Amino acid sequence: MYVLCLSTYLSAAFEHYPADPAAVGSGLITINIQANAIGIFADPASVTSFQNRHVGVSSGKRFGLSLLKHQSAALAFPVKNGYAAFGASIFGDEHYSEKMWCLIMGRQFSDRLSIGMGLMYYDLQIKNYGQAGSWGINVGWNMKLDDTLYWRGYWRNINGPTIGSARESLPQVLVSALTYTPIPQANVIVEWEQDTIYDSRVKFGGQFNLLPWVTIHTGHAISPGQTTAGIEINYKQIIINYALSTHSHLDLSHWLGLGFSFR
Amino acid sequence: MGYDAETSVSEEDLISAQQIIATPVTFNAARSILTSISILSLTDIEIINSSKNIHVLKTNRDLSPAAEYLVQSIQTVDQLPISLSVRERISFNNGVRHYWRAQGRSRSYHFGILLEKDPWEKNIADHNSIYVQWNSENVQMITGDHQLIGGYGLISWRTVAAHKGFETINTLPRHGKGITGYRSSNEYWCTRGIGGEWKTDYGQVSFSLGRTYRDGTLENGAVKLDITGQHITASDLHQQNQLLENAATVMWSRDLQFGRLGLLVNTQNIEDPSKKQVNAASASMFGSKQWNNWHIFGESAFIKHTTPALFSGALFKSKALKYLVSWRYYPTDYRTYRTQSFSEWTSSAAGETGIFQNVQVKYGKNKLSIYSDLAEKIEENNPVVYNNLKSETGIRWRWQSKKHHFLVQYKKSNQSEENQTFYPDITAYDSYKITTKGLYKYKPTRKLDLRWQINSTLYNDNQKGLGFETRMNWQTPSLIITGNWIAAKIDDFNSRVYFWELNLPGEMNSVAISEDKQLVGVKIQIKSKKNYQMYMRWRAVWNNLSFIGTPEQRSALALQIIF
Repeated sequence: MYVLCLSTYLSAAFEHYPADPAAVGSGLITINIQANAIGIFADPASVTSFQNRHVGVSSGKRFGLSLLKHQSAALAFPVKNGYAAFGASIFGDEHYSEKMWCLIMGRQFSDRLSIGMGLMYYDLQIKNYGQAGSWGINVGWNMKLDDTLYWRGYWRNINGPTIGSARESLPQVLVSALTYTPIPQANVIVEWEQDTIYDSRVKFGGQFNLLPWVTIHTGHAISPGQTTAGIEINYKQIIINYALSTHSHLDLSHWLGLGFSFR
Repeated sequence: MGYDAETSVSEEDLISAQQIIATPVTFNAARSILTSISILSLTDIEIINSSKNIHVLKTNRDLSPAAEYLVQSIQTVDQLPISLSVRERISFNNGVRHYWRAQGRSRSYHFGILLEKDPWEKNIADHNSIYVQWNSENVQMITGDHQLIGGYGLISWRTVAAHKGFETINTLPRHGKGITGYRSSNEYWCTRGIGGEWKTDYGQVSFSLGRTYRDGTLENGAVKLDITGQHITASDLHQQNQLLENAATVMWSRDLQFGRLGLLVNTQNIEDPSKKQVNAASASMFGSKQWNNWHIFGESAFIKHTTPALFSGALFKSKALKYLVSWRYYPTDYRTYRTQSFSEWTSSAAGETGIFQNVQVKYGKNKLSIYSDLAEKIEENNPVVYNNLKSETGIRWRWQSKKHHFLVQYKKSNQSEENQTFYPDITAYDSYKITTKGLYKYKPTRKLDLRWQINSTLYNDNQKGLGFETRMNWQTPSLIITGNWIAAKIDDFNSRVYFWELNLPGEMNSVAISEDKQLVGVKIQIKSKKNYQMYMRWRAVWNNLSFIGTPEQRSALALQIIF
């Protein structure tokens, strides 16, 4: 971690965002295509997918490093006139940790348009340095273009939050994605992600229902090039999924998730 | 619509045109949108306002080509309780530009949201704009970003002035219509606050109250605005939102027996963080009158400590002939609030006086347009001292049938570079520029059209530029494919040539070529019956004529959906 700080430009934290393993396995996409509760952190409009209460947890390690481990939990449910969700996430270890809390609200305006908004609280703690917090606002949309094509996207930290006494900017991200369902058993996704500091990232991937209770995912992201794969098992109301991603210079990253839908 | 690639049309007009083309509207809404488009002529406006229904409008043969194109695109509905259009555009050209717009209406409310980020800017909502507008039969209220367009541009106007060229005869006589929600991506022009309009028996009253942050500084009692809209470097960020403008504007106008008369008053206070302030107040009177075949119009603006600014014109219309003459006098430092006057020089310190003429003659399928402008820059408020002189002349012939379209155009401009010329000696002009354009368009079928265009520039006898474009547009049941190839041989920046880019909806970009280049591009539109369209554009640019080396690649994507 010390070497990384010396050798690279480190902007303020919270580059890592909680993600549903099914989406990760489909090319590191951030759109919540499988309607997993963990996906609401990044994709607030997906909260309108939850017709029943749904709870999700996930855990993992980036690049196989224990100091980059992460755990997340979220609960999504319908409310009067809309949908809501809560979530909490932690990334890092006892020396350096990024905690995130979210409150998401969403509404379906027609059968073709859903909008979601998230209020995020970011809490950064560095041992022997102190603690700082900041608030962020995420806004997302989900638009049905036709029976097989959806346009989805979101803006992360649209309010331009900063953190700490140095007022370091937190990442602001634009995402726009198209999801296409050529057959009922398969989805194809293309996502464009633009962090305002880094180059654009284009990601693409797909999901296929191998069996009614097994779905496989695969995908690829560029800049840097990373290939992903994942599997999801649905048993009654329980969902278990796992995904991994490669990196050209670092070890594999892993995600494991568990979801439960109350019907 | 007959505009050259060097010209500019206001984004507000582009957005209105796009709305007409892409969104189903009621007939009354269509009329309101069409009459707000400044590039349509007074004749077009009269026809639109007097048409009782869409069928009458669509079958009228006296509309200009631009108006006819827009009218034929209208899809009317009887009622539209809710309507929403969303558009996103991402351009990859030396960084990433992102643009996201939503426009909608629900019963009496209209709203608009815009988010835009220029390349290399770190804030995804660097330019953000929102307005909500409430309309009733006689009252309109707006909260948020808006603009008040009044008179003929001397005090409060849209983001671009009427352009000087072959089509000025249509745009110059149009006066501002009043308050409107701000829909442009021009970052420094809107007023943020509340505005309203009220139609009474004594005329139309519009007001605007704004509290707007602007980029710039106050130096020695003068306002130095940063109008680039870019917030990338430390210097850009240092000036961002440093000025706070509080402004109030009121306009009254009425159609009287002898013509139309209006008054516009504005007061403005600009303050910087150190509490230094600059105050300004201005007022103008404007009017127009129809007298037989003549339409006479003008505006005079009064700003403290300077002589009045004056603008006037007369338009003659008959079936085959239109003639416009316009005269202007602007003293130095007269620009205030949202001045966007018809002028040659746009710097805030420069004054000018000038005379502009424009003729259009129609004979069968032939249309001949001629314009000329003679302008003198005033850098001191001293009538004895003559400063930079510029004259510009252009002639264009156009012949159009169903399958063939020919256009030939010649423009010449002369400009003296001397700072002072004493009357009566006329200084020899120090620089001149001649541009010529030839265009042939062939449309063998409804689904295919081909175009060849040649542009040339000659600057001061020794710097030459020549560009040649081939363009094709082909429609299939599900796609529209447009491709072009441009080759240009250019001696120098001064002899640059311009061609239209393969524009996506809402864009009006041109390609300015100032050195030898080869450019190849393609645009694909995916059509759908479900009220959405997708667009992709790709372009490769070689910086030589031999296609040597790796080309620079540019691309863009756009998605548009209407609910």
